[in-house]
Amino acid sequence: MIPELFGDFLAYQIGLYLIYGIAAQGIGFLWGKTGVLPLGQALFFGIAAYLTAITLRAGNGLVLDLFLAAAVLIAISVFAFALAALIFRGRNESGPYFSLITLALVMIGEQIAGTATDLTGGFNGMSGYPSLGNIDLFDGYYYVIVAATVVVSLLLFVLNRLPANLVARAVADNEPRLQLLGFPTHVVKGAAFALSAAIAALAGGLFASHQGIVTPTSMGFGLSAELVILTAVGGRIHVLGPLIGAVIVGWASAELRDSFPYWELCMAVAFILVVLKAPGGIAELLETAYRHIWPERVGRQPGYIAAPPTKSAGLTGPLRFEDVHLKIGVVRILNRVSFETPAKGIVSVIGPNGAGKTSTLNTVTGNLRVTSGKIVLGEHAIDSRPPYMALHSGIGRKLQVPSVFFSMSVSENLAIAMMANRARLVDLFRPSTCQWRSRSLSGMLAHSSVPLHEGIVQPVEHLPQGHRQFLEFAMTIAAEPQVLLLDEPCAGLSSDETALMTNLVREYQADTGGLVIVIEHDMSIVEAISDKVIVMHLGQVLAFDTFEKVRSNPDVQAVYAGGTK
Amino acid sequence: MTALLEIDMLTGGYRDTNVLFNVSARVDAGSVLGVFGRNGVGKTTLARLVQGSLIANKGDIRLEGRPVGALPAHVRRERGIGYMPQTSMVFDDLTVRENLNLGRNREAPDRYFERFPRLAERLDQPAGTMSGGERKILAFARAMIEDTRLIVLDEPSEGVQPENIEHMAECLKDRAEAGAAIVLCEQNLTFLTRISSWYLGLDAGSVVLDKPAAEVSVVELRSILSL
Repeated sequence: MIPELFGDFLAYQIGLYLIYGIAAQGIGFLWGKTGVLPLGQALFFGIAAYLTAITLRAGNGLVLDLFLAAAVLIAISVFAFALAALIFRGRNESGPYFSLITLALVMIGEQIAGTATDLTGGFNGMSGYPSLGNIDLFDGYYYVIVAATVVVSLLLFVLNRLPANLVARAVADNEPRLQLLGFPTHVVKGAAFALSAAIAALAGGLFASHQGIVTPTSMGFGLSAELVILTAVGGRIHVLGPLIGAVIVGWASAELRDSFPYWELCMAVAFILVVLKAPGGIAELLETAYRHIWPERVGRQPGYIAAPPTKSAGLTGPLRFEDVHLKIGVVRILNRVSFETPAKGIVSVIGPNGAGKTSTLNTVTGNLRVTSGKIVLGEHAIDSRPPYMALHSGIGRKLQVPSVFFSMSVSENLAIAMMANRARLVDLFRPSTCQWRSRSLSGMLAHSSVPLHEGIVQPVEHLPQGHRQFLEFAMTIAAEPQVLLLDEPCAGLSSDETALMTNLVREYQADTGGLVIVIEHDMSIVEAISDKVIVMHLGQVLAFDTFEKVRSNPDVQAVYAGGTK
Repeated sequence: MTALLEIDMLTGGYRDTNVLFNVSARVDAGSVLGVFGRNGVGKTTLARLVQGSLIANKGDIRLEGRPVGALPAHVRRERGIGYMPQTSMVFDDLTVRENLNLGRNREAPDRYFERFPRLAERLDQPAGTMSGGERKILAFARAMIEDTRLIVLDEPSEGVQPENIEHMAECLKDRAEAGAAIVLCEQNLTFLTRISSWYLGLDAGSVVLDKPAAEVSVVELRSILSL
């Protein structure tokens, strides 16, 4: 109603702010969910703007123009996906390098746009083409922009309620854990970057038609930085945050520019204040105020539905190390490690601190690459597989320091774990996927003494360490791996909790008939649960036998006495 | 006589959510307060309230009679409160030597190399390449050599082999005999009973036992851990 109430010119201005807001929404989605900060979104904005100008100049007619616009969005998405997936492949963090690469790309893009005169019109840019469908820029086109804003916002709101949103948030929260749950995080980040690029491109296309001119600044670092600022000020977490930021900053700039000489300083101070005092931006402040008046009602927890079977039962059989060496820099971690476990049962790994126990498990899950030698599960070599393939090979891993998704609730942590090795792509877009529950997980949670309360909505970052041990164990067995690797699952537990944890381990092994490998220092636990014991010392296997034989081994007694809590 | 550390009716937790309620305790110079209880009863919260990374909502903390409860953590460290957290306790990118040489120390780390020879072997190795247990030992050695009068340790034995836990106990005894006060938050009863001179048992954020070690049996300790 802006054109009717406030006139065409304000509608024209608001239209421009919304276009920037749409592009910023893409940044908000990527940055707010996955933690990846793109500094070159104007590249996609500008490419789409130039291609739109070229298309509109050709006068193909509305249908062909829309068809070409869709093709451009798809092409940009594919390019962005491939770029991010390639850069992030083989890494388990997002670091600043990706942001810097996007920054470099947008600077290259701006340079090309300014110099390729035949293609882009050089510094003068491209102009003199009609608007999309010849719609009046000061009237009807405003509604086209509003419609695009609504569509993008709805899309992001819907995504927020889907399991895919949990997976995207999990990337920012704890990427190594997500990989051990079988998610190829470089693909997740690639997909999120593709969506943000497509949104930026949509905004770029709208911009070209709206402004009637496209210049290299539409593909420049300046615009990229401005979009990030709009996102930060408005709020990167809430879907509407970037839109709010774009409209407020755009409107304030326009108003202050002519009346206040230090308006840029004013905006800079406002930006610093918002970033320091309200990291969630204006949207968070508004939401807090809104919730103060209308508190959020905690809905009833939806019921659970039987989870589908795991995608593959994974590999089974003995785990065999063949002359494995591992060096990190000049430090030799593992030295000529060879052993073969039974195909099923519980094997404990003991040894002094620094013996190489955790590193041994790290080589099994691909968190460390062996320098030489071979690791074979059943008949398959697994030593060159990345961590996200471990679970597909049937290997579940609980880490030494409990590794969970700290910003999420217990039920969200468990929901992600239930998707592990089960969810197909389509399941990530079905709300009911979050209600999956497997028999093994239900069995564990049925123990009244397991300290996991799913009704609590607070993030698990404040859970005590011992409770996180149980949560991570639950997350690991939710995927029902045939080979379960547990790194000091009883560390930080009281004696009663230790007894509970050892019972859970035994029950899981008995239920699945698989192989469980446990690193443990407490000899009473080792004695109680182990079919076989591996003793490690200085990166080598010192002994591999039953508990009684290991205990009476003089070589073992010389280096490791063990003890109990 | 003024205790080295006095905690008076302390209530606090995370933001508005209190985890500890009206907890009082005192630790004299040369003694070890063993703080114990099941997971989630508030041991880490108590340690962090004393160290200063959390500020109490109610109550007082006094170091040698001077209130420190409102001071930020770095000022409390200057006043003599040392801290070994449960996790994230060393700088992974720095070498073992650099980790040990950080900050203001009362002594060189060398005397701890006899008990923990792996530290001496790995002096020039980045701490991040060491195992979890070794990093814990490094953090413990750091806490020992610092120029502090009160040392707060949060589950130092977690992930550490039993022989090294024994060495930790000896080191703590030495520090206490040299006049330091120790607050040891632990679940490992063998470790706890080896060195504690006073016990503070917690359940659901409140004190359920506050007695000299000589008056408490292991059965009583176990019963509190099983609450």
